Amino acid sequence: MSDWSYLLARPPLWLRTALPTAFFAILLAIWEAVVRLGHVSPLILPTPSAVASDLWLHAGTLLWSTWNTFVVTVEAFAIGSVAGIVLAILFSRSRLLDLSVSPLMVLTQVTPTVAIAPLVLVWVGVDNVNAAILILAAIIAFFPVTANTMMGLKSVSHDLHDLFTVRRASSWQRLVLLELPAAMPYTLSGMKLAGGLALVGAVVAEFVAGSGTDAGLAWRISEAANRLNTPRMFASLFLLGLLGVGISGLLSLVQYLCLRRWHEAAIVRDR
Amino acid sequence: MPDTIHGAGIVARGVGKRYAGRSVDTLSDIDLDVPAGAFVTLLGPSGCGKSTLLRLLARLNRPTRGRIDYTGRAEHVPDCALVPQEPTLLPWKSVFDNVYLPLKLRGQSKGAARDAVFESLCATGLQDRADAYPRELSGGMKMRVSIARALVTDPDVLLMDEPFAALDELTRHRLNDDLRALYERRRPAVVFVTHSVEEAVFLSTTIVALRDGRIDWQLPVDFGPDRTDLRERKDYARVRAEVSARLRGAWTDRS
Repeated sequence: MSDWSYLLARPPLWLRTALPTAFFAILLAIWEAVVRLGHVSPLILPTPSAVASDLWLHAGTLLWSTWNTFVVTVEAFAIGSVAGIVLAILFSRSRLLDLSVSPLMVLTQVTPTVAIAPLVLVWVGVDNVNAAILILAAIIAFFPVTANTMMGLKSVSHDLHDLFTVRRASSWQRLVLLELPAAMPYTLSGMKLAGGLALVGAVVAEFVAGSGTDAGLAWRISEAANRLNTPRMFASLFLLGLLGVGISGLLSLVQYLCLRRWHEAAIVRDR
Repeated sequence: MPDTIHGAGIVARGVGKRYAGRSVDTLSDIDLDVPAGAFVTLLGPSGCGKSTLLRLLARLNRPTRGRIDYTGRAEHVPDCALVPQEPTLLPWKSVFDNVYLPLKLRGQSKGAARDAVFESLCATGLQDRADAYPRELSGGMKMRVSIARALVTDPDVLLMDEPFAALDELTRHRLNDDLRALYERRRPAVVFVTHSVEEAVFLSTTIVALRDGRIDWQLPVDFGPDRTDLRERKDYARVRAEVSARLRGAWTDRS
């Protein structure tokens, strides 16, 4: 194996940062050149420098909106994760409940958010848009946590169950000391998906339900589109992307920290 | 003399087991006595019902017929420990925490359990690996942790299901020596499942051979408590040959 292939097989942090940064910089340079040379109208595709300028000039408003979207996402993620884990525990304990409620749960996932948003808005009241956005985002976020945690709870080794049975462990001890830790890799994978979905849910819900007292990034994009302010749209999208990457990175870090000592997925083998 | 003499054993009478959906019994007419302090080995070919019988003795399954009783002092609920074929450690816990687990299940705090855990770790030669995680250990080491975990409560009854089957011969010999020494020190009632004639003769006070779900024959093994040089002794070779011949005879009859 050559030095370069070896480096790519186990890329150090500097390489993992440098490669996407260099690729992004080249992409921006080409983009800037194409628009400046007049091949594309700046109204359709603003230059990266125009987007950066808009971002700089309206940093206060845009960062405030980013913060609002972030708060809704975190709240939806927290509600979705807790509800997802609790539901998975209940389903794993009661086959009757699993069979009765699971189809309804799937229904909430196959029905698009845009279709149920007006209904949720009616239920919580049109003056409670923030609550509607939170509920819609949480509905999208909880499913992968439930599905993955259930799979994890069912995957516990029978021998370990036997061990707990012989030692006369209570149901609570079995859950806390065996099942939940064994399901943790699955739950964390579900939560990683839920983080991204909570953000998508928060944005889509704001598009559909409108903005409450605290306008998020979806509102900024919508507002800029109505004014044909494409630099602002790109600036908002850039912040949205940054938020998504940040949330995903943070959840990957949590996953790594929780699993690094024992789970195969987090362990790099010596060669 | 052992440090501790335990007072519990197992008595099985007329035990049979047929799994749901099967047309034949996996076990039939099992009468077995495991007196307190005895080391009973269940020996036989694959599929003869050894592991099924062990699961019944561990109360992991219920017999279809007959009954199994734990004997001992009336006021005392016998403490039973299981060493499965695989070490089955909690991969997210350190060696110390894995060994501490049975005491934690009894509600004992980590501080109060520290001495018992370290005693068990020392007895199995793991005192230097207390902070290691299972994935950092070899197969033999993992099995030692599994045994340390079983012994930490100083159990009355120790049930072992082919614990050394997956290990190399050298490690297996070493663990047999260690198990024998631990048994002599604590003297629980042990039921040990194995395919290996050598292991059965070296460890046991009684060998119970199973064939087609029934007890075929039983053989007391009287080599006394000190078996350090047993593998070099002529009487050991003689008993090994006898047990092998008995098993071969059984297989010949069947074929």
